[in-house]
Amino acid sequence: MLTPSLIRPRSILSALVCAFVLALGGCGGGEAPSSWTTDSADILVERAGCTDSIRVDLFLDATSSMSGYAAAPGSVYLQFLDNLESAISGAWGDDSVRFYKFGTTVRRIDRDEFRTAREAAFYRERGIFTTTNIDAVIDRVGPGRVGVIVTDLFQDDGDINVMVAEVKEHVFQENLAAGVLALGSPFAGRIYDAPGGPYDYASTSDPSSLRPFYALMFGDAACLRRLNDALGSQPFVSDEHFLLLDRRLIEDYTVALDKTRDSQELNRRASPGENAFAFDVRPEGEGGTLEGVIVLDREAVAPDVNAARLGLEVFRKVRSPQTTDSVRSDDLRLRSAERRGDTLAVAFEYTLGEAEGRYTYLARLRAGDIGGLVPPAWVQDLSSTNPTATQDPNKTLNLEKFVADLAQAAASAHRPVLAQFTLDVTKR
Amino acid sequence: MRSAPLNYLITFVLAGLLWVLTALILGGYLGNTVALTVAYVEDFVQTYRILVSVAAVLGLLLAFWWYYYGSRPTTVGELDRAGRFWTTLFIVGLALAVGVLVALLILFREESFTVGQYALFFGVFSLHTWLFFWISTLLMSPRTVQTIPWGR
Repeated sequence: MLTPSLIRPRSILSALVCAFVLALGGCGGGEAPSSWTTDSADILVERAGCTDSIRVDLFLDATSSMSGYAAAPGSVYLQFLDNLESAISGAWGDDSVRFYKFGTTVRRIDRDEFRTAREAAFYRERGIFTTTNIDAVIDRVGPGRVGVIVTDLFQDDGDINVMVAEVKEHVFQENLAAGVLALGSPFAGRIYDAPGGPYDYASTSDPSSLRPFYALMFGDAACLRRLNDALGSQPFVSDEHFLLLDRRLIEDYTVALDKTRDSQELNRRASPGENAFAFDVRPEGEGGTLEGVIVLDREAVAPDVNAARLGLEVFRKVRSPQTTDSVRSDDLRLRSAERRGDTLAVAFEYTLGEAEGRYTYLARLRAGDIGGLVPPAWVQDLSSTNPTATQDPNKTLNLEKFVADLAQAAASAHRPVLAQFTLDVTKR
Repeated sequence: MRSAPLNYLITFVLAGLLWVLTALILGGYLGNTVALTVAYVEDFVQTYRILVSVAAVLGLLLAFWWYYYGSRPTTVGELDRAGRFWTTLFIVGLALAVGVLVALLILFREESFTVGQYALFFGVFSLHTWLFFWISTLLMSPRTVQTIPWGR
């Protein structure tokens, strides 16, 4: 307790000076921070998250077309199979790999039989070798393990639709990710299932004559990243030919937001934090235009984003006069988005048709569910709508459609969030 | 009221009250109502309060200087000179009001305030400088120079 002797004039003077300084800097300012519990980590790519124990189901396409890879001298396909198991063992301390061969049906095989994949007989098993039913394999993919399907694809349109539907149901809707790794390999054999009928093809020493095959991977995104990293040590595996379809695409992002000079009904306040913004709506005002620059650091293996299909998801809470839970809101709307490399120039229209009060918004910029994700250019390069002996003989039938449909399935299952920010608005 | 230290104390309290009214209360009101093109509300309010404070301190010093000058024994025989000195201080106060207003306009040159707001800013700075000096010296000048301020 203060006694009169302790209350000295210097103390009073100090208190007055403090009050003066506080009043200069703080009076009428200091808004409490937003009450949103989400932060940027919730939407960024997760590197961690894959345990040191892994169960891998390795499905090997044993249809006739695949024998052309095994028969070719210097086959990348065989090198890939040889290194796949060791890559898995090297990346995980505790690994368990189960082998399957598939075509018309799926059959579990042991490791010794898997090793016979370098022999032509492996691709002539009755009941398997005639058709490539990848959708039957995808039925077996699920949480808790990684599925790797080594195949040359070659599905017709109907197969693609069934397969994509299976992937959506068993992978994307289970919050799992899909990876497509393309590898070019020497090939010498017959290609079946082509729309114009089977034809023989043999690659030459020209790298452009290599025929691609694919490792389709399904599982937890962090595990697929780890597997791709492990495979990436092989000289024939290129990160540039790997596509990962995950619900997260962004490794980092920054948002800068400001009102336009014309928006006289809005006053800006100091930013309450990273990717957080605050504005006042002046008395009698309703809102204005906000302009932003969003810099995205997209994961290299993620699909590209179509700026024309971006969508904005906004939630609002009222902070005063009465606190309310968050509800969807269209107070903030995306007016335009223009892409310049990794930078998005965006414009928002903000309208508050409410009475005086304090409001807080959580805004999430999402990729569009239809045409929102764009496959990388290499997919188009490896794809053909009608491979024949004379035209695109070493290209994959409808790869572009398959990957585009997969990307759309991924986007519709969980529209990836590209950036999020909070907006605190006070209407005076 | 015209003798030290009472005139000093009352003048200080008066300046403090004016500061509370203009810097804190009016500053908060301006922060909520003025339209800002590029400036942050916090920056505007803080700068406004700093300028009001500068005007208030300088206005207070002008008044104190006059009290000190008027209470000197030698001033009794030099009332003409004292009159010129009061006028000089008054004009200095007026120049301070204009100077602080100009400083505000330069600091917020990208903003377009209304004529009413310009008038309000000048009124506030005037209240702390030449008006404050005039009113406080009119009411609380030492007896030897009490007839010098205009209005007596």
